Amino acid sequence: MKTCTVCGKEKPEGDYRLHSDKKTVMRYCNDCHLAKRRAQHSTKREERNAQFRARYAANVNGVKDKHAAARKAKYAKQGRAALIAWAAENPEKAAEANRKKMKRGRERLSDYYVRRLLCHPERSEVKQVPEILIECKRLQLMIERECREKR
Amino acid sequence: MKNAEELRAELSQTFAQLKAGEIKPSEAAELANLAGKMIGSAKVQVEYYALRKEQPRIEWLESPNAKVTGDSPAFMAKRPVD
Repeated sequence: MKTCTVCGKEKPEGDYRLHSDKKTVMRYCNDCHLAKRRAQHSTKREERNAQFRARYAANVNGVKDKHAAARKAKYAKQGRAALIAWAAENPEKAAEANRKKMKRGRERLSDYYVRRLLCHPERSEVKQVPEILIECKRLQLMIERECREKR
Repeated sequence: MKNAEELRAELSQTFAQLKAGEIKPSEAAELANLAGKMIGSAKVQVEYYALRKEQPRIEWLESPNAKVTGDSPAFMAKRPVD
């Protein structure tokens, strides 16, 4: 039996966590340890999450690449049908993903975004837009944006 | 500007000049506006032929490196390469 230095209760050694050396136990019991960690987590939650997001974005340890490869493999195995089924099951998530995709496209003037501006798939019969037309439209948009910034 | 390639070259030159401050934004905006009209006109032509399910050559869009982009093969994919 051992007395916890935080709550002062006497508890068996099994209720105490081991130190990193895996031989000696900590001075405070597992319940007090968890309470302390929870309190720490609630105060530093945003900071830690920001750190994790930054690490993910910087592709530390290649986790981002691993996720991308997994998504690609899943898509290759299941095809577009699985994606459409998922979108039908999760309309809100699908709408949010689409919003993000369009926002990214708008910022980068991606082929997808410019093609959609020229011939919207739901409003136009054109399935294939000449690449040269997309390039001209992109340049036109770039000039317009630059003009707006300079004015 | 006799075709889309020339328009692209003109637009990219204008963009570079605008970035370098060699031309006024108002001048560049005028050219962008004119380019928008030309692109819109070509788009209408492409849409018209798509609706009629025809595969004619649009000379204004023709170039040695012309490619088409999209999700599925349609009328322009079967167009013979010159």
